[in-house]
Amino acid sequence: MIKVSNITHVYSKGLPDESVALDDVSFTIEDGSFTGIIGHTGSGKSTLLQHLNGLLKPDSGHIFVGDTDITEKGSNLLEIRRKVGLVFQYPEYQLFEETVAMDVAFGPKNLGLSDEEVRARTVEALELVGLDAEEFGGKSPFELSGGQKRRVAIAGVVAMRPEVLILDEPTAGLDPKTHKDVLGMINDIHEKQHNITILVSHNMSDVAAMCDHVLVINKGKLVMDGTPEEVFGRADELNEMGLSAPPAAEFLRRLKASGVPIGRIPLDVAGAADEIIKVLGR
Amino acid sequence: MIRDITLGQYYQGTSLIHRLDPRTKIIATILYIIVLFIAQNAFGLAISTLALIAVIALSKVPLGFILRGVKPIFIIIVFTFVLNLFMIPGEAIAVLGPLTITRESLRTASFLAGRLVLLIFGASLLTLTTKPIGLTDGIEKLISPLRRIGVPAHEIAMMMTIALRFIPTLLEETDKIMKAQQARGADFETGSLVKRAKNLIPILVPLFISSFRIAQDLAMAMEARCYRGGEGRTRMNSMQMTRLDLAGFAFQAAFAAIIIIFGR
Amino acid sequence: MPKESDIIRADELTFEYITDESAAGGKAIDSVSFTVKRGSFTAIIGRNGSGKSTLAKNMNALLFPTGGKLWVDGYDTSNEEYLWDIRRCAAMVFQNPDNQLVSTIVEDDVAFGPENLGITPGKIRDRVDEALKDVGMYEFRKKAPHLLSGGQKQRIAIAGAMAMHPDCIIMDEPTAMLDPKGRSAVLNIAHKLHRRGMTIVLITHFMEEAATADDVIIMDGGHIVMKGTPEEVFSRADELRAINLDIPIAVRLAEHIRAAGIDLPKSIVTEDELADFILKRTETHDKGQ
Repeated sequence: MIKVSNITHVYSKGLPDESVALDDVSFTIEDGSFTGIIGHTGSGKSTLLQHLNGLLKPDSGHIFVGDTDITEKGSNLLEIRRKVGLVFQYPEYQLFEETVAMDVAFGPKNLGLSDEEVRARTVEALELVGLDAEEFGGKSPFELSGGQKRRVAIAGVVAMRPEVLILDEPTAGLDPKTHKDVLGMINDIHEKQHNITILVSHNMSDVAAMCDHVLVINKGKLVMDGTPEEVFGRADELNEMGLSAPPAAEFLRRLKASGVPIGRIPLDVAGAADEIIKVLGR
Repeated sequence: MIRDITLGQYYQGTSLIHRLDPRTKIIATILYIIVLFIAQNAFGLAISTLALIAVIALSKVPLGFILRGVKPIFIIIVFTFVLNLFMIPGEAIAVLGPLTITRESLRTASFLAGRLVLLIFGASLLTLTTKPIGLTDGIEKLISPLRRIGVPAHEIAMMMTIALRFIPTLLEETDKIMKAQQARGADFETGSLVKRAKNLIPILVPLFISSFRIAQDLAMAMEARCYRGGEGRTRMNSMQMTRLDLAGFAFQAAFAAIIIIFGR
Repeated sequence: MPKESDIIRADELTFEYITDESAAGGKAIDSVSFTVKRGSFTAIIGRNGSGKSTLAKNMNALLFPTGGKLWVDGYDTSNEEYLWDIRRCAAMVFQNPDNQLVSTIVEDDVAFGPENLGITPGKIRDRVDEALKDVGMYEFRKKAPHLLSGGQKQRIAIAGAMAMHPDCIIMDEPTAMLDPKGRSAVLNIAHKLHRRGMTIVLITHFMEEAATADDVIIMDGGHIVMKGTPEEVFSRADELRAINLDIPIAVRLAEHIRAAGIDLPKSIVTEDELADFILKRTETHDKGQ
């Protein structure tokens, strides 16, 4: 379980360009949850993620991962990184080793595991991201395709077997096919590892389809916290923040606004089509 | 933090100093640095300090802003001061164990430190009151007579422009890569010097690759916008010397004369 | 030279990357023929590695055909003599918003192109101001690019292209790295410029962006696999799925609705068209009652 209580983070404190990146944010994420975080660029999302694995410290407030308070002074950073894996945006830009296997092994090695354990985890992580360890392990990461590089980078974090896996826009810049594949892979990992997965995305359809819990961040504040149905049900408020519900739901809302007697507003295409069929079939 | 570095930054303004032609300011800064080393007595240093204070006041750049920028260099100044303090033989005035401070060493160390401080303030005032693009344009214009002897004036200026443009981008990139590797348990803060140097590999390799990617993309974008070197190229802002610049030069000349006559 | 009605014309255009590994090399573009009409909005779609970006770079004479011919505004791109005419005529906007801005000040960056063309200072100033106003970034003209958002940087890049007074702007996945807000801002500008008569070639893998184009070209494996109006192309949803492309939301909804036995014209591919259809149907229902 992750418990974030009243965290506040201020950049350039006391200087003329002072800005509040996070303002009294509190929420809880249950074990086994697949949580989505939405909010546009500059809303404070990235700052929040970096707090969750100790890269940034809050100016006030606490974050508990399990029973550990990771905001406490002198807390063991390596322990936090082991518990919470963070995959940054465009993670393939962080690849540096000669071979795929060596790159994936970087994290586990830093954890001080035995060579045997490191090797086992590397193979496991590569299989989890859908790459054959035999075939890819010896290749240079730089000769892979964009989608494969991204998988390798994600494997590098997965190999640390984090209890919480955070992914910041893992599908940014990918084409539709690779996008679908990478999301499927993240779902697989979540199901196999029973970890907490946190997905940051601009793609509302993905968030609606994959997450059981959605957090909305706007201007450094947590403004919504609930199930996808609850959050996307408040589409008017989302629109005001420059966010939206999934496209199918937005389309239904638009029909409703122009007088079409739409009842329910489902979040997926098939559900939305059923509502339209009901109306047309009257 | 990376965002605290103000050295080399531009401070938006419309003061007299801001409005001077970049060439005037570049020449003035070079002249000022030369004069600083001509000045040999306390009077010379005092006049140099007064002149700088006057220019800072005219520029309306807050003193705090300048100080914030030169902070990182202060250690170097202190270091040179201390080194000089103990290194010059002469009439001893204080003894600290094996180290001796002499009258000569105190004088030399103080003068050197004073000069360095003035030099850094003077140079940062140039960048604070001149847009980077003005600075590079000014340098290009000033060294363009050297083209005849084969100095690639335009290319040098273009390289400086691009470097200035991409320094913030690369700093941001470095920050990102560092955080990503830290998230994988990398440690950049502890260990022996050799170990720490080795720990930089996970940052340097991706950074190197990023720089190459940027260079490639940028070269292509520049070509697409019809860039073909300095030949036949015009500028939107052509530099123009005004009466203000004349006044600036007069001030410079007077200052230099005073130092040369009384300050040695 | 009389202006042709087709601003871009490709005839059996082929492009092969020369690499040491002959296997990985191969033809990025393989015997492709098409035209782009002057004043049109053409979308070129394909997944990564389909050859669409290589095609864009050929249109700007950044790459030269290794086979076949490509004409831009009547100029043969394989003739080096016309290089600068081609690049001025068909300006380009690239994918990465960070890596295509040259200068430390927004307005100086926009001036970069016209400066290279050797235009007089006064005229450059006019062009820069005009271009920045066109993309709604005039008030940011004194700012440093690295302080702007991705979408804003991309708008500056478009202004930089506009300031060269091109006949055509080729946008190579300009929205791929942007958030939804930046994406719609860039698309809106592309459409605004198009309405004013600019030819736009938009390369993308977002189907929703292509649905609003006049013409759509779909590439896969270096070939053109489909070509036509959005209606013609998107009505072939199964073929699009076969090459792993997304289907616009309106087309997907229409498929479900049709499957339920409701007669829905094949020509409906945008949300506007679908909404109109549903509105009309429900209104006649109401009248009938």
